[in-house]
Amino acid sequence: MAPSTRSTQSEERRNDERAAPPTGARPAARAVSGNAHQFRLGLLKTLPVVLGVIPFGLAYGVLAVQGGLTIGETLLMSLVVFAGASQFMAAGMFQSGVDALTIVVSTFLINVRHLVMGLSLSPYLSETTPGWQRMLAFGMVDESYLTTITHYREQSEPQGNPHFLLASGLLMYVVWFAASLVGALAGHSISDPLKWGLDFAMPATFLTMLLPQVVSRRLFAVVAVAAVAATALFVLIPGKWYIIIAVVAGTGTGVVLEARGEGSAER
Amino acid sequence: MRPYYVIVIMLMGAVTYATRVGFIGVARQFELHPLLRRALEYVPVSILAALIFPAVLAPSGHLESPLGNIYVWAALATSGALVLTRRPWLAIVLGVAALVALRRLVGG
Repeated sequence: MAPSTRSTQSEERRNDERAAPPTGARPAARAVSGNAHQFRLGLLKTLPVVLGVIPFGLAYGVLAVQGGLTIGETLLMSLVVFAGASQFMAAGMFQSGVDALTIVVSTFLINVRHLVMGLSLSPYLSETTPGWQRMLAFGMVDESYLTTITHYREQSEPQGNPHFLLASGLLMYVVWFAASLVGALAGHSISDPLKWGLDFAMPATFLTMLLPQVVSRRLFAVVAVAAVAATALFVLIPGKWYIIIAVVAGTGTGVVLEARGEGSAER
Repeated sequence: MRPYYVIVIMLMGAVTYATRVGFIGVARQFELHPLLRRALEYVPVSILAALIFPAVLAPSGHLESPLGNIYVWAALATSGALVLTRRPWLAIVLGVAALVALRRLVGG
């Protein structure tokens, strides 16, 4: 869209943006209707991922209520914490009477991986205002992060549109809450839905996201190293450290292979 | 709601949010080192690999023989369906259906 035809909105946008250069050509001002489009895209591209999350939300609701949390407490956790693995863990820890400090520290350790995700998104959001960043951060869960980073990379533009992540995070939030609610209400009358085989929904979803991205030998090597590291550590050490260590091993492999590739190209 | 539980849940929310907001603004404040920027290119596939492979190869928390592991077969079914149909949602549905069917067949 031509910036000149959108000058009025561009002016309004600029007031919101810090240190905006006086041209209409910067990404944030480029397309106001583009924001609505990116929001819709965010919803659309997150939809398949939502399939994988529903069984986990249901299972969380069921297990939390069976573990002794009230429906209100179960839902409050989905609204405030909004992080599947740590909610499962906390529900189990509450049931076995673990002290508060251990629960909170364990939650932090399980979620440390979000730091890497935030770092990975940050170059695409470097022109997004801090207020927006703080809002978007709340909705950054595994699925919205992965959907969004994939989208930003496909766009191959230096900045990502924050409305995409907003929509993705919002959809995940609503679905996570709704699934927890249904699970909590069904509570004592159904068995753990993950035992039916629905636990495979999540890895299946991630698999369909990963496969199209493995387009070179180098990326194959990165995936192989991360897969071996993650699986070995998952079996050997408790907690979620396996994800962070696998990411370090995978990215290290990528960087080293990249450097070696450049070296041999020069020769 | 019991106050003790509310407080612990709020604290859980606070530390979780801290991990999310911690680094998301880093590139606005600092110029990222080129090497770090390059490394970040490989983060998404690494995270995906780390989320998929343990869940498929060790679904019960310990390694299982791949041939007898229905998750491995279901993952192959998902991959095949994705290649053939090019529709992620269809591949997910078929993959989960394959796992549920296999579980009934094998009883595992």
